[in-house]
Amino acid sequence: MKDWLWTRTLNERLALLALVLGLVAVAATPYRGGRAVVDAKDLTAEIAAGHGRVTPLELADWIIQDREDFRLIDLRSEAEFQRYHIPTAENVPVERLGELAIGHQEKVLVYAASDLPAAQAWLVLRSQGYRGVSVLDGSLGRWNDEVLFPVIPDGQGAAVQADAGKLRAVCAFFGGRPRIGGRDAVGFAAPLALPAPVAAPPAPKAGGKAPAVKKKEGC
Amino acid sequence: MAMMAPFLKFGAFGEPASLVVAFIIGISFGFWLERAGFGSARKLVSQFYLNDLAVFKVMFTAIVTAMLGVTYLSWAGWLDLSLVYLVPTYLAPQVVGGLVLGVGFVVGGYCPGTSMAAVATGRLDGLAYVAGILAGTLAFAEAFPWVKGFYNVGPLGAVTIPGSTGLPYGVVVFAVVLMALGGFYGASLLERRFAASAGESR
Repeated sequence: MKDWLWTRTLNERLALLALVLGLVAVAATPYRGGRAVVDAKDLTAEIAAGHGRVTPLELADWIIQDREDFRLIDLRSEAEFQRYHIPTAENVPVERLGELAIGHQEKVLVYAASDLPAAQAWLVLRSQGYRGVSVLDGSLGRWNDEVLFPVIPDGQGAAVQADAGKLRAVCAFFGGRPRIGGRDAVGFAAPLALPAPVAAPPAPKAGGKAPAVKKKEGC
Repeated sequence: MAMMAPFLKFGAFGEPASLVVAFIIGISFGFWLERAGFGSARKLVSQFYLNDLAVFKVMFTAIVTAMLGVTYLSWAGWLDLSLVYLVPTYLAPQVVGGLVLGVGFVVGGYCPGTSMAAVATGRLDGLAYVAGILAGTLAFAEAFPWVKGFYNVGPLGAVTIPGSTGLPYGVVVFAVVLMALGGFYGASLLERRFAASAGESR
């Protein structure tokens, strides 16, 4: 056997090596699978420090400034997404989270109907090594309360007035309606109606980014 | 965490350093093209006369080597394959583009990479070819508003054989290895046959 191998030409030996490697590779599963490893200490420290959270007003600011250095992911179902979503959001229902293609340094902000599913998705993504993942603090509920239907403080004083003016502007930008009158919220009788969904960006299919710019590659 | 590839996407180095890396890889690509004899248009074009299929063999060897490397590295957990950039598929424009490149290859005797290797070794026909590439690129850029519609027709995204056939990844790898080995064997038969007939006709 050994003699046979060494009397082969180099090409034949390399071909044999490729054949063996190819045969063994039949069992290979190279794509990111279901298993993930978490550095619990690292993660706990991050949670304790309050990292990975963005408040609705911060997010509103980013969207108004037209910032493009982050991706906003809506984890709810497609139907809920169609009904209303935060402008610029992409819809990746939680069951398709595994297909989400993001860079490991990419900044991603997730939200859902409430905090819990969003936080769970955050944990899954963080455990897969995506460091740039944050949660919209309070998820959609707090977004509604603070951005779409904020309680505008009524009071005298320049500071209060300035705050109120800013809140009104933010609220108007997203098509919401402020609640006047402070804590008791007496300003509205009609049920709060969500603004009509804005023209969604072409929802990139999970597993691939939107077909953006073609890259030239070849020999 | 241990170092993991792709290095740029994991932040091992920044954009400026990535240009240096690209330069080194590009130079080494050109060097090995030249070493394979691909700085010569004669060598390249003889694959179309079927009497020297070195281009086919070198390219397919590179594909198999890279494929096995990527498979084993990601299997071992050193490479995140989902982060490796895949050229998106646009079937019709890419078929047309492939034919244009193919015709240019037969007529000019080079493809873009090998023409650079030819220029580096001081070949004038390579220089003419590169001038042709630049002129063609300029013409394409100027004509782009008119061809834009076709250029972007039918985007299919990043298509992979395992993804679209449902075959397990490893089975596709093995099939490609078998295809390559069969191709090498077939190529050597063709070379023997056409080298012989070329000899007779002389």
